[in-house]
Amino acid sequence: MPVDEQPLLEVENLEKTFVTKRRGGEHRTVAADRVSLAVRAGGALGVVGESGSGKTTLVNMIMGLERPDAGEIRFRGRSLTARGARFPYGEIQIVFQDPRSSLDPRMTVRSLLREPLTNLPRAQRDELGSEDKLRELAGRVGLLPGQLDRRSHEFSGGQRQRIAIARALVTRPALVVLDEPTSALDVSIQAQILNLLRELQRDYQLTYVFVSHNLAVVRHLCSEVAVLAAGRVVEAGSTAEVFAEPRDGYTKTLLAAAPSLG
Amino acid sequence: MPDNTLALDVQDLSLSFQSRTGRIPVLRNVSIDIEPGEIVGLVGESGSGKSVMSLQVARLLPEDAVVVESGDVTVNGISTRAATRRQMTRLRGSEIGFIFQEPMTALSPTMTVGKQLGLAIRRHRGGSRAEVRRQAIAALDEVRIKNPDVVVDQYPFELSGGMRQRVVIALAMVGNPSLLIADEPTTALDVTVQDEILKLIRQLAQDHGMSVLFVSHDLAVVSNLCQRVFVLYAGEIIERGATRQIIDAPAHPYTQALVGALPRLDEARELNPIPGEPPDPRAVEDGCVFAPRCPHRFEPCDLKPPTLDLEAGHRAACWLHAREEAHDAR
Repeated sequence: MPVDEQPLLEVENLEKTFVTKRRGGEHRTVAADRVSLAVRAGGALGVVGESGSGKTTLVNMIMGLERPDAGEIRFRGRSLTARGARFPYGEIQIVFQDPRSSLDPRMTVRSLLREPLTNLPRAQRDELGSEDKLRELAGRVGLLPGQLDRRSHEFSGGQRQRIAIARALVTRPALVVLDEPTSALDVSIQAQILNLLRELQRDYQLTYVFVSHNLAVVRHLCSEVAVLAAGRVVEAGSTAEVFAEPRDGYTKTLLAAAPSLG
Repeated sequence: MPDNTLALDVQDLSLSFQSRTGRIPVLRNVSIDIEPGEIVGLVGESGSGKSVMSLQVARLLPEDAVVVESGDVTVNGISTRAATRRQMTRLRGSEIGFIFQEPMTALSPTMTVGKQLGLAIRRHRGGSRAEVRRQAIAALDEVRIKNPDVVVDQYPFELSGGMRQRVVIALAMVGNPSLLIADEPTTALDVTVQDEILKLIRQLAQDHGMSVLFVSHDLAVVSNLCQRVFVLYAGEIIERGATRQIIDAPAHPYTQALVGALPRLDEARELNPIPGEPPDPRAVEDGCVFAPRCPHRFEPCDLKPPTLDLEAGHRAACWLHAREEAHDAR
């Protein structure tokens, strides 16, 4: 396979089972059952599913927060799950659903933006954390330079999500995992953030893994989609095709249940 | 009682919160009418005043913190402004049922489902222990809970989110209310469960001739359920009409923006978000509340726009339409 066609992120046959001990025996929850996905550089993959589908476990495994029982995750062709593999932290970043809980309310925007740089080598840290770079990034997500000295609790939900996005981009990642980034926002603010994410993807050549229960939002932002149910990928393909002609029964149910203006 | 009594009649309601620094206006001249058996949506974003509006219908807001500046809320012909506390207690439950976003906050975690339903059933109808239990099981059956004779002895934490919301609906239905107020009842639920709950609400409304005030930030959900929609922005109803009128031909720039900001399932079209954020209620301008964010702002917007009839039942408060009217008249 030519280098430029190799996916940026590959997830192959990922398995994860949680075992909880209860009175009268063990309870097993299969959170990932041979999950395979791939995203090419510059692409956007939507991962949709309901509560208990295994979305969060998948995100945690991609982010190196949870070890899979079996299977492999590769980034730029290199295994992230092999023994002794180091997580390429500046290159993979995440934006969470609720900026109220993902940002320390007492920290200034400047220190929030600098924090992800802590683990990078000194030279890189100084370069990416320079005042010019921070101002440029803040401006890029729609914050004013003067707001760098404000604390995050002073901002509205939409502005906080802009801060969370800037914080994810400060290390100049190639891959950004977006975990329900607009679910806590009002519709009009959600549209602002979705447009911003599209612009940023283009300007910074970002690759997205976009996890959401909101099908319309996935339809809007992602060219590819994977539908998760009970830890399995039940259907995957181009978003336009899957949404127009779903083949799997669960995907059909999901699409039929999704509210729409139509 | 005559047949034409409205299930809910909010007339010109203006309401403020009392704070140490003065009164903060939360609702201004809000009027909402719901016919018997009708399902009506109240749409608004965070801070628009939609929850305050729904709580005030049953006077559930703390009385020392709320000042009713003008207007009245009438439920099935009964004025809530004139009602005594005792009358209000009777009204809640027998005329008005409530369901909220998070079912766990509406249920007691320490009581079984049957016990909680039993409290409500005994209050409304009384009966022997066996009779109350039988009615509790019937109530669960009516909200399409499978194995109601098992669930009746379970605690809320043993149930899924969708099941809990069904239990809350069963509780709200015990008094056979003429009006159900549903404040974001499906926002915390998965889409397939949301779909089931919406169908259940529609079915119950039909079976009991019950009216529903469905409060939500989600225009898509509202458009699938409601016959008419009221759009609330910064404490004012800026547009009202039949659901199709609101979705297909929104007249107010805010409603247009709301429709334009919603991603769709059938195509990935460009979103046109509204710039800025809703105003702080303490600093709402004198003229049109939406003017600071409005792409069509022009001179008259410094003054309060009149609410105009566009077609049957479709009204909007915007100078753009007043201008057309003035122009046509000339």
